[in-house]
Amino acid sequence: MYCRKLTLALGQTFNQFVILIVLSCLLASIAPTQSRADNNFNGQQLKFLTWSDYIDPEVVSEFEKRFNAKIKFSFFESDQSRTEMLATTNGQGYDLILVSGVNLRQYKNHGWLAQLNAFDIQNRKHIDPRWEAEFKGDVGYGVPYFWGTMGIAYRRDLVPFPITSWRQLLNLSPELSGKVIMNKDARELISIALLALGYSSNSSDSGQLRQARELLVTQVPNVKKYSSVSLTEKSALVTGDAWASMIYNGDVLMLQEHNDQIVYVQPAEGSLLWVDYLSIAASSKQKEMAAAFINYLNEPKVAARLANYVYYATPNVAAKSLLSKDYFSNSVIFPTQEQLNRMAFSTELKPRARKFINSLMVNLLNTHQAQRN
Amino acid sequence: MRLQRKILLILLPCIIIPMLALGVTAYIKLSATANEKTHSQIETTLDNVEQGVNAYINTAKSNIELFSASSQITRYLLVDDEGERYSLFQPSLLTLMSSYQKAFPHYQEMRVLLPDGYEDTRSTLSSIPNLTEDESKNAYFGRMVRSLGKIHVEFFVNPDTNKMSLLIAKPIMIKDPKKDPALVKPELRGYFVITSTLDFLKGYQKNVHIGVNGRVAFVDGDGKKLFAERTESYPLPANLFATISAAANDNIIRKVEIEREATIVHGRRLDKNLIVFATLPEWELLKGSRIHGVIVALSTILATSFVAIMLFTLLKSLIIKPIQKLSNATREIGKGNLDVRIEVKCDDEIGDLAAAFGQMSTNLQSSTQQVKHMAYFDNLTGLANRYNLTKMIDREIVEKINSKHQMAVLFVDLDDFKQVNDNLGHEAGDLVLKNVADRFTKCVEKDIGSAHQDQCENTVARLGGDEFVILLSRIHDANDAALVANRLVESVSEQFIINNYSFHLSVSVGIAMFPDNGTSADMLIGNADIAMYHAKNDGKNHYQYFSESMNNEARECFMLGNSLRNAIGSDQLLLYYQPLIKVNTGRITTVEALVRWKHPTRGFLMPDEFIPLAEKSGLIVHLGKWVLYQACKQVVAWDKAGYRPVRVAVNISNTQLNSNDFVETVSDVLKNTGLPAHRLELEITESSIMHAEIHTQSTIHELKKLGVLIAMDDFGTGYSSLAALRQLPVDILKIDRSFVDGIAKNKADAKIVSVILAMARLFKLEVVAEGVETTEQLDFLCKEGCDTIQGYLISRPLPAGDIKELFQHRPEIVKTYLQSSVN
Repeated sequence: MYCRKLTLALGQTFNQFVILIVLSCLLASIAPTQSRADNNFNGQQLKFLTWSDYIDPEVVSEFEKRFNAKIKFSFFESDQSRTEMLATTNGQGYDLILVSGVNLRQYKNHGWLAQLNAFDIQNRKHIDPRWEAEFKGDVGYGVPYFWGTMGIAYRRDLVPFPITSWRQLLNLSPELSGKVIMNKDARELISIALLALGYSSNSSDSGQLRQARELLVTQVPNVKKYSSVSLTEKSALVTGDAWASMIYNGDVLMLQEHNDQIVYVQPAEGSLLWVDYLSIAASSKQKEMAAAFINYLNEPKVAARLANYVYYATPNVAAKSLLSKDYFSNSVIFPTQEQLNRMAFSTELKPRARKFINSLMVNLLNTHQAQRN
Repeated sequence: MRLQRKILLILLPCIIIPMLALGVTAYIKLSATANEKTHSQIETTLDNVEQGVNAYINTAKSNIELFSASSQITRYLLVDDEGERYSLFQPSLLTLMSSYQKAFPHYQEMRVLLPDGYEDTRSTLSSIPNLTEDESKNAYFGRMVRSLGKIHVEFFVNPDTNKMSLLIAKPIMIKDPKKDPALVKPELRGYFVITSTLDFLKGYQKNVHIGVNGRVAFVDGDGKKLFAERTESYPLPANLFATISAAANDNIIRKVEIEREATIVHGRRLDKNLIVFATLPEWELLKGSRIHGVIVALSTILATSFVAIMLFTLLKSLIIKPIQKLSNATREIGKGNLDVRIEVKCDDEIGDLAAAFGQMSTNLQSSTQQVKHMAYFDNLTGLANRYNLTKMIDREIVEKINSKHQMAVLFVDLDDFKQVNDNLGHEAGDLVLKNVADRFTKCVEKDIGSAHQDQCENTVARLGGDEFVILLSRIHDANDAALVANRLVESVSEQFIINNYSFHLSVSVGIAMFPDNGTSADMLIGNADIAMYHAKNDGKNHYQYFSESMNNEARECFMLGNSLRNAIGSDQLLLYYQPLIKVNTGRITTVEALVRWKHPTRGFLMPDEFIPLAEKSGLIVHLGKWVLYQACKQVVAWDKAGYRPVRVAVNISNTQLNSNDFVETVSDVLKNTGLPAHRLELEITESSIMHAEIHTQSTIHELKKLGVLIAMDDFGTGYSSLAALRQLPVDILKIDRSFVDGIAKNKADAKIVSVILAMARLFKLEVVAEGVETTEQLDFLCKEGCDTIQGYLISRPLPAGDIKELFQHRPEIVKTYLQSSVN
């Protein structure tokens, strides 16, 4: 499955792109191996909590070979579920955690994350400082991995009208009844609802929040399920079980490989920006290895390979030079500036607002389940 | 009443009363049991509810304990920073709560309250609007706080839903992990609160096991009904709520009217604010009782009928049937069928009775046979008796109605058999009768004629005394009967030797022929008897056929006899008096009383027309007594009237003389009338005196002793020997009229009269000449010395009134005669 990611449909640049990738891989596999020959973790395990399909498995296995390490993955399906997983163990049980920017401070504040400055991660230098500074207070607790946006994917062959806005997705429309997949993340849901209502996605205004909640509650009958979209060929969007979904931009590209009727839309009301960080768990016993892995992933060639794999925008500046023009010209991966102007990173909400959306998520799930039953 | 009914009458109360008692007891017991059952159903139901509620609360308590103890909740509450708490920990806490609520859907709300009453976390399965996040103002919060660390349970009206709900809260006490656990005490970090709907109670409302119409409902502390439907009264009527509260307090089932329907009510307090109550319409309870009643009544009737029928059947077969058999057997015996088999085989008293009955039947049969024999046969001779004979004759008559054969009935009577009895005694007489019977039997056994030897259908019967009847049932004509009659006469004429005495007897036979002389046994026998009587009267020792004239005579006798009986004592009988005149004085010395019968239809009857009848029927004794009395009375009456006293002569029959009390009768009459004995003459016929038995002779002597005079009537006809005359106590001889009549006609008679008169003078007896009718006779008699005469020449018999003339004036003829003789 991972290998097939290489058979992307990116227009006529395909062959060229493949050769480039292969060369990059070869180079990357020779040079660091030699320089880092002394790095041997004696087959010890690195527990990595991350999204699924968010890393090139070959990169992982190369790391394992090179460092005599073993990486064990744990996956979450949303920021919220990651938080819940960590809350359940109080941040323990993982060495490396993929943290969304919006959660970085909370995790750090609660002591779940280790300060990275203590470790030698030389490749941090390749990271665009802009991303390091995006969540200013948290610098040193995470290394940006990818950034992206949130949009709408839909099947143009099934949905009888073109979807252009969040409002269209959230409005209760009989045509979409039970055909929409929404993320199981209260923060993201309330954000797009606020956007659909014309409010700031980071509003803590209780009145606006209430309106947003209403919108989400009315949408429930349209929702097929609250979860992340599967990226495989069995995905509901591919099979046609679901017709539309909120989706991270890179995921669309993966899905389009399976079905070219899937369309990606940057909603008119604007959208969410996000950046994922690689953080080392404060409770980790393998911080060194985690740091080594972060470092490895940020080697420009590796970072480029990863970007090509996941179709997300990499913050690794050095890698950019290794990536194709097509990659950069892909409007899905890289929104226009005008689009970006209407996007915002999610910020921390006021506690009571957060409490409000916590309840909302529970309510949505319960209501949805009640309706499904 | 039939035995069957009586037994039923005894049996039925014996069965019905205990059955009724049993039925009533069963009914009461069943009703009580049904009541108890219902009550216990109510109790059990309420118990179940109470236990269920307790169990529910306990489960909630366990859940809250479990939840409160989870690291997630403690960790959550240890996060001081609201932002961290909500963004990092609350989602997972909510997820956990949600999953709990999915397992326990009644947990409508799961909440974490902070010590100050702030509602930190609230999880609801359905979206329930939240009124406030500050719970410190709510009353329950105060109570919760005051529960001091324990789990707080209460039923309260949830302000969010305005429904009665169950609140379970646990204060969560945690030691601050940042401090030395040994030094710090757990501090209150918040409350974990579960608010449960009471929907689980609805199950108890739905599945009620109290009769059919039993209901369970819940009411809050203010009397408002939980889960009330719109049609129901809400809140409850005050009286109902009061009753329920009272029942809940003292646990006593009560009765109350709900919508005008008497209802059984019971309540159980589950909480200050919650009472469960059960209701059951009273009619259902009563209906149960009624059904029990009907069932019990039906089974009582069934059992009674069954037992009654069983017992009755048993009794019938054991008692009534045998008794009926006995009864039937008795009836059979009553009908005369003695050969009855009694098929009763019991070991009991009835069996004994049946056996005794059988014995009796057998005995009865043999004694009946004896009686029958006695009834049909003469005991002495073994011949058929009158009854048997009558039957036989009747039977023969029926057979002969259309036959040419004739039948003869021969009535045979021994002549003068009385003398045999008197002289030889009755035993000898019986021997004679047996002997005669044998002879008669032999006579009829002999063939009557060669033509019908085979038809020896003749029967000899003895009617009684010396009377026999021979039935000849197969003869051709009257000659055959005469043949047998002759044989009979001859058979008896042969010498009898009894007890060394030898003598001869004779018989008189009367013959009646069927069908000429009668068409019934009684007629034939009666007519034969009449014929026999005539034969006897005609001189005995021969036979005589019956003739119709005999029958008429006999009938007349019979009828006369009957009317004579009535005539005695009435004015139909009259006494006439005929004077007897002393020849030398011409005066009346005596009057002879002569009875006359002034018969209402036949006119005047002379004594010879009815005296023999009176003799035969025995009426003579009665008649004679009457005549005697009247005559004596009349003479005394004349005396009193001042006439010259005369004697009175009264005729006495042989039968009178033989009667036992005759002397006494005469004595009484004399005494009663006051007539001196010497003025009464009793006239007795010569034959009576001459043949008088010893008894009669003594009677005559006794009469003489009374002083009455004895006159021998009809003297000269009875072959009286002079010697005998001398022995007899006779005072007067009355010369029979046949001699007086013959005086002028033949010399023999005149000579006899002369001899009689001479002899009377010799024995110094008075002599009366009867029937003097001519002066010639008178002359002769006077000449020969007859001193008294009687006859038509002097006077015919006259009524008492007429004869008085003669007392005063001598009869003309006497006057004339006296004058001529004087001249």
